[in-house]
Formats: sequence, structure tokens, C-alpha cells
Amino acid sequence: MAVKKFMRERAERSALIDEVKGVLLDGSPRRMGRYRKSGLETVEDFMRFFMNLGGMAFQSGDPEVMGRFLGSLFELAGSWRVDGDEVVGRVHYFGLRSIQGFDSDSFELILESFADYVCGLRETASVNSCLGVLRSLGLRSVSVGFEAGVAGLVDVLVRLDGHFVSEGLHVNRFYLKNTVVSLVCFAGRGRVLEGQDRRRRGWDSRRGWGSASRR
Amino acid sequence: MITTDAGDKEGLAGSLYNLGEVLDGLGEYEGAKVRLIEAHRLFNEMDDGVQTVGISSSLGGVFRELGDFKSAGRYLEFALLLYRELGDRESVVGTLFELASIHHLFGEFEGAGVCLVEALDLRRGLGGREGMARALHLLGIVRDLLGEREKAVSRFEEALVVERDLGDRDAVADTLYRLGRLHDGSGDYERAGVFYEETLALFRELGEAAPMADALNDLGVVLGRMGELEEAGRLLVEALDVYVELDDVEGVASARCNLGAARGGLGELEGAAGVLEEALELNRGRGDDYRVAVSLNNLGIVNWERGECGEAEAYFEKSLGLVGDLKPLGESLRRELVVSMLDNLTRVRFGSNGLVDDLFGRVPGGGSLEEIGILEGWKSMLDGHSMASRGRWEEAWELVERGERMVEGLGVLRPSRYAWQGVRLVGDRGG
Repeated sequence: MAVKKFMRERAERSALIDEVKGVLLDGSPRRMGRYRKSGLETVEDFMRFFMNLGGMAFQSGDPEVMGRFLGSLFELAGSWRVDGDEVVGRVHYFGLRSIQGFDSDSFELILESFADYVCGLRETASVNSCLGVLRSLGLRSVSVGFEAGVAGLVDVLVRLDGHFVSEGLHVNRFYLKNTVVSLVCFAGRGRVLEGQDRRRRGWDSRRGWGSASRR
Repeated sequence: MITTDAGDKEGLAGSLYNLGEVLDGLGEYEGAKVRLIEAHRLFNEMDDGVQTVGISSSLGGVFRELGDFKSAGRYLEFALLLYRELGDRESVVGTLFELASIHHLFGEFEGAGVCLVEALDLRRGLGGREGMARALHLLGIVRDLLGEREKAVSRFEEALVVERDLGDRDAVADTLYRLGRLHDGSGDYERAGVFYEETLALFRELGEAAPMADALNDLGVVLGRMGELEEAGRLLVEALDVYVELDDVEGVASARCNLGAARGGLGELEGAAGVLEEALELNRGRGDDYRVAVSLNNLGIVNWERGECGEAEAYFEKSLGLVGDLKPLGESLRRELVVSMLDNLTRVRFGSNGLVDDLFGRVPGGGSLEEIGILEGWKSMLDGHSMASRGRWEEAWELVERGERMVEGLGVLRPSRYAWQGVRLVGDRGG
């Protein structure tokens, strides 16, 4: 029944996300025990349920609920309840879905909250792994011609660069440069292709570099 | 005295020769030198080649004992010339061995090699397997010193066959040890281990403590490099005990440093830190920068594992700072140390978000980064950035991708490359 059609009111949806997050942060058997009747017993059960809520939040298209979910996800990661790789995987997944739907609002929301999360990270390897996700999302945005997405991504990269510079995070900035170089290279390769023979290569102008967003 | 009174020149020369030989035998080389030189002069005046050549040969030995290698060489060259004229091939062989040893002392390994090759050829013709084994063994040492590894191995292998046939266990043990060191130096640790094991067993049987300790230490190092840390630790503890008993400070320092690496690798951090600090002190006391650098590198890893990251970085920096002043040593050892330090330091700097560009200039051997994956990855990314700035998209793309893959493929970036210490460098044990 998709959690009673993911609760009918926005307040209900947000409250449910908060509640599950609260249980995961608490993690005590006593608190988890209250949900046995609903079929939730272990931390893994709650985690799976929480991630399902995320999927529903993005399906709902409600920016506040999506924002609430992402905020909770990053909070759980900050409290070591969710693994960093899991966070990166989810952001990638939701980001790709937004790109697929040319949903610039969702994409911007994801990028902005993800940037907050990245700025809070201290471990170099984790930051670099996050930058890898941004690059992947950027490449996809370029390849499908999601111009608004590319613009949003550039804003985030500029913001991150400012953060890395002010904090003296050299390796992170170096990796950020990789992200930018990859994006430029990818776009540059697209231009080369576009400039050659679009038809022969089956180039789709609707999806090509610089084409208008479908929205 | 009687011969002097009688004016018997030949008798006088003979007496002086005999007296010189006796004094030589007694270790009174100055006295021997004076008598033999006089005898040499007299026999030369009488044009007695047979006696002159004998005295020349003896004088070569006496000057060698006195540390006057130049004069020793001069007399031996003279003796060689006369023996050749006389067709005395046995003596030619003996003199060639002597001359080879003089060349060796002067560091003229090419010259030593030439003498030994001729001695070996003659010896093969004359028969006499002891002499042949000796020539082969010495040629192995000389080839090793000349950096001709393959030739050295081949000579030692030939020598080993003859030495085994002769049942000369001392020689067999030494040859096995040298073969172990050669394979060790070229990175064939498995084969090196086989040789070290046999040499260790022989030195145990022979009751020779000092070479036994070296074999224990080197076998421990080889096992450590192959990741068999527990067995390595056991051998190194035994080596350490023997070195302590022998009061061999160099050995003690080496064994402690290696034991620290083994314990560190096993996660026994406190034990590792203890022995490494002791090794560092001993090596500092001896002014041995190479071993100080190795100790610092290993202490860096242990400190990092203990969570003292700043201190670890300082150790690596300090260790790297010593590399330029290292005494000459085997290229493989120097390379292992520098590569370990650079790899560890790059990982630490990378993890703490620092720059690593300055480390490229410290890479040994003409700048090949192959052994330092993280630095190679970084360089590839850097080159990619450079290509992108010139609009060469394809190359930039490939370089950046490659670099990232290389760095990410390394997994968790923690310093973990220990350096190991051999006790004595190949060729140092004389022979």
C-alpha cells in the first residue's frame, strides 16, 4: 500500500521521515521494539524502510519532502549510521533520475544539499569519492543536453572550490580540477562530434550539447 | 755471519732469504722486508731468476701485510713476469690470485677479474679442483662488485658444484649466502630464501655465530618482504640475540630495525616502536645515514598507525631529507628505501590534503614512477590538467581517468611500505 500512499499530507511525509531517522539515530532495541508489529525489527529493516521512503519522496516530486529526506540521509551519515559509500550511491541514483526527467529543481536540491554534506567532510578520500559522483552526474547532464543541470553543477563546483581554497584542502581542490577537466573534455569531445557529421554518427540534436531543455 | 765473512755472496743472499721467510712466518714483516729486499738485490745481481722470482713473490706478501699495496703489486707483477718466462704455471696461478687480491684492495675490480679469469683458465688446464673452486668463488665476488649480477650468479653456481663435491662446507655456506644476497638484491625473494635457509643450516652446524646471525637476519628480511611476518619475527629475534652476544652493534641495529618492521606489520605497534627507537639511536650513534633513514621510515609507519599522524609525516620528511647524503650502497637497497619513503609520504600528504608535486624530483632512477602508484596516478592527473589547458581533450580525458583509477585502485591510503635492512652489503665479507 506504499505506506498509505506515502502519507497523504506533506506534514505526514516529513514526520515519517523524521521518525524513522530518529529511530536509526537512537538505535536502541527498546525504541525499535515499538515497530515490531509493522514488520520492522532490526537496524537493517529500518534502513531499508528509510531508503524506500527516499524513493517515494523523489517520486512525490515534493521539494520539501525530498529536502527532508536528503537532510536526514546526510545527518545519518554524519552520525556514522549510514556508510559514506551508501550516501554517494543514493545521491548518484537520485541525481541520475532527476537528469533523466530533466527535473532541474530536484537536481539543484540534490546538488545543494550534497555540497553541504561535502563541505562537512574531513576525510580526503571521502571528498574525492563525492567529487567522482558530481563528475558522473555532470557527464550525464552534458550528454543528454540537460543545460540547466550543467549550470547548477557549475555553481556547486564553484562553491566547493571556494570552500577548498579557504580551508587549504589541496588534494580536494586538485580532484575538483579533475572533475572540471573531465566535464570540459567530455563537452569538448561532444563539440568535436557535433562539428563533424551529426547524421552519419546518428547524432541527436535534441540530446546534443547546447540543446534546449525538454522542459 | 759466517757467509758474510767468507764473502760468499750467494750464501749471504740465501741466508737473508731464509731469514726473511722466517721473520715473515713470525709476523715480523718490517724485519722480513729488509732481509728480503737485500736478498732480492743480491740474487738479481747474480742474475738468478729462480731465486729472484721466489723472493719477489714473498715480498709481495710482506708488503701486503704492511699495507703497502702499491709495492706489493709491483713485486707481484715482477714475479708474474718471471714465472711466465720460467713456464711455472702453478706459480703463475698463485701469483694471479695474489695480484687479484691487490686489485680488489685498490677497488680495481676489472683488473682483479682479468687476473682471476686467467687463473681459472690455467687452473682448468692444470687440474686441482680446490684452486678451481677458489677462482670461481672469487670471480663471483668480483662480478658482483662490478654489478654484473648474472655473471656473478653463474660463477657462484659453478663454484658451488665443485665446493659440494669437495665437501668444503665453509666455502659452500659462504657461496650459498652470496647467492642468496644476489637473488635478494634482484627481488627474487623466494629463491633467496631457499639459499639463506641452506646457508643458515650449514652455519649452525659449523657453529659460526657471526655469519649465522647474518643469515638469520637476511632470511628474516626476505620472509618479511614476502609477508611471512611471524616467521620473520622469530628469526629476527634469534638474530638479535646472537648479535647482542657478539657485541656486533651494526648487526644489533639492523636486526632491531627489521624486527620493528615485522612487528609493525603484525600490528604489534608498541613493541615495534620500542625496537625501532632503539635501532634509530644505535644508527645515529654510528653516523649511518642509510640505516637512520630506514629506521625513521619504519617509525613513521608505526606512528601513523598509532594515530600520531603529524609525527609520522615529520619522520618521513626527515628520512627523505637524508637520502641525498647517503653513503654509497647497493642500488637496489637505496631504491627500496627511497621508493618506500616516497610512497609513504605521498599517502600521508594525500590523506591530509597536502600537495605532493615537490616529491616528483625525489624519485630515483631517472624518474620512473612505476613503483609508486600514488605518485604515478597524481602525475597522470597533473598531465591531464595540462593537456586540457591546451584543448587536447582526448589526451586530457585519458590521463585524468587513468590517474584517478590508479589512485582509487590503491584503496585506503595509509603509509604501509616498510624498508628492510640487510646487514652487510654484497662483497663486503671479503674472500
